[in-house]
Amino acid sequence: MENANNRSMDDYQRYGPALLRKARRMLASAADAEDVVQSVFVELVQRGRSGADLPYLFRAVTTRCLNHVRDAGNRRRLLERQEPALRGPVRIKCDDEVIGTDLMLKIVDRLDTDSAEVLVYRYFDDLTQDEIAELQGVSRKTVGARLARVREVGLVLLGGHDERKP
Amino acid sequence: MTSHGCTGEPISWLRLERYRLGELSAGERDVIAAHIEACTVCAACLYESERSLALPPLSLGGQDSRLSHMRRLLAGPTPAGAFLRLAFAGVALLLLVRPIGKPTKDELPSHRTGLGSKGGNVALDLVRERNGMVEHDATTFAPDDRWKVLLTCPTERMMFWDLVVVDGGQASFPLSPQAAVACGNRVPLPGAFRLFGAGPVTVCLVLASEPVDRNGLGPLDVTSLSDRGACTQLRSAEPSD
Repeated sequence: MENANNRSMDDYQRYGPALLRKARRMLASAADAEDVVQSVFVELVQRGRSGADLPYLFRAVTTRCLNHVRDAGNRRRLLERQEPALRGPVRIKCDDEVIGTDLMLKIVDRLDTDSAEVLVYRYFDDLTQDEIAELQGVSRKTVGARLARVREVGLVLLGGHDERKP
Repeated sequence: MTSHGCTGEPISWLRLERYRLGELSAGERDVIAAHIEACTVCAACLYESERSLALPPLSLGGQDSRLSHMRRLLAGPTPAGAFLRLAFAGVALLLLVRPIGKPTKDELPSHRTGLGSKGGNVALDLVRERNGMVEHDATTFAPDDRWKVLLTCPTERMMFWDLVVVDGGQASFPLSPQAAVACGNRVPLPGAFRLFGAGPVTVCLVLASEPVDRNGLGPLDVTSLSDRGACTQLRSAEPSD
């Protein structure tokens, strides 16, 4: 058990900064990002899992962040206290619109879990469709369909139209 | 969807992090290195990923209850929660910002925003860490304070920069710019600095399309330096501050 803890500590030291940056980009909150990353590693230790690679941890943090923002209390706090500087340079936009915290939360509400993950990977982590496919273990075509759904919802929210109406 | 400022498909943050960690194959590394060489935006992202980041200790002993307790405190409006949030921010030493345009009532006359010579809006935010407390728009400095700079400038631009501290007509340069920065909203500049002295100082961020020539800054007054970026003034802390 002690060895497993030590390995987890090593993983944390090695990958923690990258995961913190990733969570900060998405949550725009240093405190919440630390909380999420810590909780991922604590759970890994509890499960006795160590030696995870960065892509696995990247996905684990994404999932945890999405769960985090679905909580109403967390969401309210994030919107009130967001720190835009933590986002860093924005390289991928959706039809020339930056998907910030507020818009991301609204889009996530209308998406299934897998598509919400795609939203984060594409617009916050700048992953290519091939990278997303590899991370989610699905085909590129599936990723394309999920991305189309993200874009569709995003455009509806940006344009104020309801996609369910003709 | 579009990518902005990149010469092609941006190198994802995941690949940049793995590149930094040396986890990619030689072929992948070559591809990324070639892209970084040609793309200043992705180079700035790589630079961002290479900056040191304070990692809070991982609490593995009694972790479940301890973490849950911390999370409750962090989520709630209690004084302990507020203290914890401030402590976390202090440990991270980074980048809590306040909206531009909400000056504190005792703010000194300053020139926090200026019009860059390229015609776009430029704003300088200084973040002070004092005894673990992070404060924005502080107006006083003490020798033990640690300062970070947040830059706001028109997006899709890469700007060279330098930080100039003018004290009694003498200029000093507390940071060491290594590369241009990709503009954005409150972009943290690499490095932190301290301020010393008994009198007021002027802190200016100078921006340019080429590396800033420290010997060619011209007049060291607020107006001249503000024309090339943005300035703010700070005074030495009194014992009561």
